[in-house]
Amino acid sequence: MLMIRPRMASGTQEKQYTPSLLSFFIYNPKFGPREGEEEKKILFYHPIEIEKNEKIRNVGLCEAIVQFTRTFCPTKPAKSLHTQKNRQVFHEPEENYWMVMVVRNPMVEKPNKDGKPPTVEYQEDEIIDSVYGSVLKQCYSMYKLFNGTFSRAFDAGGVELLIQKLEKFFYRYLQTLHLQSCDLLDVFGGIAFFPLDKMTYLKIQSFVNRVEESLSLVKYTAFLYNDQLIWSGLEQEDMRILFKYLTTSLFPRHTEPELAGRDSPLRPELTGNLLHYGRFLTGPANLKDPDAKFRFPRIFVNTEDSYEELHLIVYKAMSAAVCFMVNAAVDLSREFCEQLDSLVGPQLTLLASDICEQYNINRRISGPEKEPQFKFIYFNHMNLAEKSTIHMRKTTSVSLTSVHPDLMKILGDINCDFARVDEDEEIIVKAMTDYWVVGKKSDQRELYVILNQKNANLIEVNEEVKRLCATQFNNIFFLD
Amino acid sequence: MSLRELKVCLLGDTGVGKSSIVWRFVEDNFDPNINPTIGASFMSKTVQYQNELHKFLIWDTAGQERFRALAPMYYRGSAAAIIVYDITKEDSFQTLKNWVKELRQHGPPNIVVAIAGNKCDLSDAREVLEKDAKDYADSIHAIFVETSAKNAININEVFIQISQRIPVLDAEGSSVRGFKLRRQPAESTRERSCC
Amino acid sequence: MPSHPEGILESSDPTSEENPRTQDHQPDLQKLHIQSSETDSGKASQDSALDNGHDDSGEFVVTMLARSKVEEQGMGTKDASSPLSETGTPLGPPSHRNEDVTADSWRQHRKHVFVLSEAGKPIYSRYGSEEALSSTMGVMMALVSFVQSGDNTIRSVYSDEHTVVFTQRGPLVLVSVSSSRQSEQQLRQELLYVYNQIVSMLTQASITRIFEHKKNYDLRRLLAGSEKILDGLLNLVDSDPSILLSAVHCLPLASSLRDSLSQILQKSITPNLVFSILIAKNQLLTIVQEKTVIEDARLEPSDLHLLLNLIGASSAFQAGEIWTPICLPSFNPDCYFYAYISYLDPPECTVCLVLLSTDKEAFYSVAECKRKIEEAMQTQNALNSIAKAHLYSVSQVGVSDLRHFMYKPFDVPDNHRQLTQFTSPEMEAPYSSEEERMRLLDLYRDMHSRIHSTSRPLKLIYHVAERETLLAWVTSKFELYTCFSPLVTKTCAINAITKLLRWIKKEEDRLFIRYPPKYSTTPNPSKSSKSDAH
Repeated sequence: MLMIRPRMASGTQEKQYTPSLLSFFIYNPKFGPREGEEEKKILFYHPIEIEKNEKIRNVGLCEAIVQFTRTFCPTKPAKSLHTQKNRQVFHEPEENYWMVMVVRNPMVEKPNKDGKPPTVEYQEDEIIDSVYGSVLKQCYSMYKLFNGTFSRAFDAGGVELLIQKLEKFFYRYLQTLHLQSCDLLDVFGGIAFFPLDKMTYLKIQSFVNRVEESLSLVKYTAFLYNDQLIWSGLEQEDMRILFKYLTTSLFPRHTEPELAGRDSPLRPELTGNLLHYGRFLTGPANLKDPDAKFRFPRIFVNTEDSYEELHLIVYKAMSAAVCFMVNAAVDLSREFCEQLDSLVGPQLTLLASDICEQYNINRRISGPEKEPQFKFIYFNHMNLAEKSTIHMRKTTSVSLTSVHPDLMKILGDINCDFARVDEDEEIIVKAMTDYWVVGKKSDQRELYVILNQKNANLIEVNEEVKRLCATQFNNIFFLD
Repeated sequence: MSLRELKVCLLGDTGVGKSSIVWRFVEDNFDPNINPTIGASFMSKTVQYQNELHKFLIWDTAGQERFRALAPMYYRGSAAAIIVYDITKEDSFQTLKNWVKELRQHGPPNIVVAIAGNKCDLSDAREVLEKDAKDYADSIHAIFVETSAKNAININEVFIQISQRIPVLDAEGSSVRGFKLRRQPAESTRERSCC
Repeated sequence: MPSHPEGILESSDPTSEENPRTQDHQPDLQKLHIQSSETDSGKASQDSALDNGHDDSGEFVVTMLARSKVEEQGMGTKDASSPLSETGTPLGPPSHRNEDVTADSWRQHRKHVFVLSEAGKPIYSRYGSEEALSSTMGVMMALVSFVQSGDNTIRSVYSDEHTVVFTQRGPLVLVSVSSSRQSEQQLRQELLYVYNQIVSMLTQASITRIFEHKKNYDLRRLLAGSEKILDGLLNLVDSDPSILLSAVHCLPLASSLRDSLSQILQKSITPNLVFSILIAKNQLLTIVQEKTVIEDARLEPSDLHLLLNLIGASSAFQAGEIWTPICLPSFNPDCYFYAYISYLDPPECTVCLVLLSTDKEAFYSVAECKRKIEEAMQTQNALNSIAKAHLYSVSQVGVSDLRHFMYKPFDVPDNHRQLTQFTSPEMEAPYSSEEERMRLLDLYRDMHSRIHSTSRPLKLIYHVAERETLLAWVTSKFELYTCFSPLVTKTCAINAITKLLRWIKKEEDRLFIRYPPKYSTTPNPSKSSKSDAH
């Protein structure tokens, strides 16, 4: 009896902590090569209140780890450091510029009786390197999208300008990282494409052509519907991070007012008339406002070669959103915005309702939706197309998945296995919970299926996945 | 012809060639890549000496430091000890002196000591002068030879000289008699105290 | 019951001689030495001494380390290779010890293993001499203690090419730098094997005592000549699945022959003999054990692996009869057994007899047991029969598409006292070359790590790869890894496994030691000797 009581007590009060961001820093060893100057290496450090020597020590450890691994392979230095309490991920996006993210391992706190401090158990194997490595790379890509490269900033205004830019960006951005819900989708960093019939697609294409013709300032255009991409003139890598920004940051910020009904059309005189629902998501909130500012966010694309700086104009009508990108050297005037609004507004409104109609027709044809026996994630490395029935919603604040986190991590493991070889592969595993997880890789495409058929055997699972491939993916995955 | 069992142990630094000497004596063979002995290796060879057969029960001990404390187990009850050094390694000669000291203090009282300066084929790299070693051997009344297990120089000599030095078998003869197969546990624990 | 290692180390007083180290040319190591000598200098509390050291200089040391490594690389081979030529032994077989540690060939080794003391002193390196690597090992120790100073423990470092795993056992730090893509868990298990092999030679108690006495002690003094044993262990770890599966591989043998061998061993006993082991071609033939010893402990596969490696790694055992102390760390890390080792078929040296006694003085009586065993085996012409025994071919199972498998049963009789075993056929084409065998083992290792993952274990893995299809399956009764040709269908694979399981069941008496025999060396069960040990 005596043995049982404390165990029960502790069992009920166990506290589980999810992984969280401990620190995040950026340094360049070349900026403080001499002893006593170590602080000069540090370009950004979160949290800011950490004592100076502590910062220097932590940066020093990363440098030592990186140098140590170079003993064994000079060209492939450390990517991560695992310790009992945390995980450190390293990324060198530009030569000598190192970004480090330190994530505290998830842990369980078990209370002790007699007022003793609780026992903490760190769950060291819960964090998958590839997931957090991708999150870190995304941090850089996002910074670069809005600020250009580190070295450009340094060239333009020295360390001072770079530090200023880093602080301005990361102070806000780090608050939007939600490390507890990162998963395989962060590794892919894919783009959701909106499925569309050919006719509607052609309509959209000709719309883009018409607009680019009339507004010659527009250099690139991207067209999205329902947070999914339909058309883009940008390079894939640039579109990937822009898509991430739009769908996890910009759009969610504007959907809430829409849902709350506070978002009335810009031209009240046309209410009820489906002619013009267009509005700017960036730039002027209200064109009629005499004090309206015509300032748009600037983005940097093609940083590898032509290094273009652009105004990002995001214009939305109902569920359709269009990004127009204009050379940043040009000053955008009220006239330009009014011209764009009057040209694009009505057309886009019309297009949006067309797409919506078409979409509903297609849905009706494919029959009523019933809860399938499986959930899946699909990713195509060639066009970055991504599709998931596992994630119900992905916003700035949280990514909701409909499956147990352990199963998501098994997907991550299979993905790591696939990443080792270039060949086509298939991996089927049965988890301890009797869920079946199937991973298939074929010709740059990856498909992951989770089946909730606990009593099925390997052959039945195989049949089920075959059916899925036949209906959803035109038999791309033909193994076995 | 009578058969006498003579227990002989080889002592000395690691790598001086103890196993090679035994290998040459027993098998008339030489392996340049011989592995370090682990613990101790036990071998025997019978040779005729005058009108007796001498069966040498040879304990080839490991020279590494970690086996050092096991040595008493092997030299205890030995009729003779061959202490080997490497003529190209001054250090190994110093170790030899320590072994002599240890045998003086803890070894059997009448043990015959033979000093073998091995690797005499490598005289180019010599660090220990033959004369110095000989003088030292004389000072402790030990047999002295320079040997080469590789070139089979003086190997049999060592054992012949040991046979010569072993006291003639008398009525008692217990000091050189073959080692008892079974020791009484009480006896062994008593003797253990020395190491 | 095994004896304590009291005597072994007394004559090797660690303070007796300050083993002069090669002059360190790297500033980092000098720094490290200052640090470690500070901790040595007899402060009342060692812990606080350590802490102080880190608070003042920890950060500095690490940045220093980082910098000096760059310089070292910049200097190229000229400077760094000089200690090699000075200290490398001119004689002896060509060895990895003499490698140039700045050369690409050194970096390209599949798996490096380093052992060092807490003071950062090199103890062992698989490739390259410890002297040449002293600065690298100094960095390793600095990383370990730096993370420790933050009340944390370093586990591993990952790069695109390597996995670096750190582990600390008592006063020893072990590091694996591997490009094998094995899991951290597996690499850590291998390091534990290395540690245990060292313990098997010195005992844990001695190691602890030595470093309590002198933090700066150069343990290589005591391990001199054992590098080959550690080298051999690491080769075994890479090439033999026994260690991965923590199980012993028996040589398949008609059960009647195995039984008669066991009986021979059972009859040839002497007081204080506890294990009699017969090995052929580095695989177990039979093992018999003293009843009372194993009442509360059993011989773990890992201990047997260490023993087999000790024998296999050194040709020293082929000469005469060997008598050596050996510690079996899983059985008792602080005590020695005395092992009698002798080959029964010189000069071929394939059949080896190992008799383990707890009595240091038992050589002659144990050697007498060998004589009896030899005689009895001669009468039965057992050596001839053993010589005919060999691994089986997978074709004997009679399942096309099945290329290879490893099967580890859990449903053995008397399971809790049984030695965990596994069976596996020979690796045949397409896995005949060294490279392909390693590749197959790597595939097995991958599946093993996923199926036994600490946080996300699995029940089954079916993996269709380019060159083969693999299936791993763990149930309460067995653990099975199979390899098929790449075009096998799932239905075929499932049928093949059903057939395979049936075949193993039919052959189990030949493939496994089903009932390990026991004996009693003392007429009155030795309660007294038992109490001696504790």
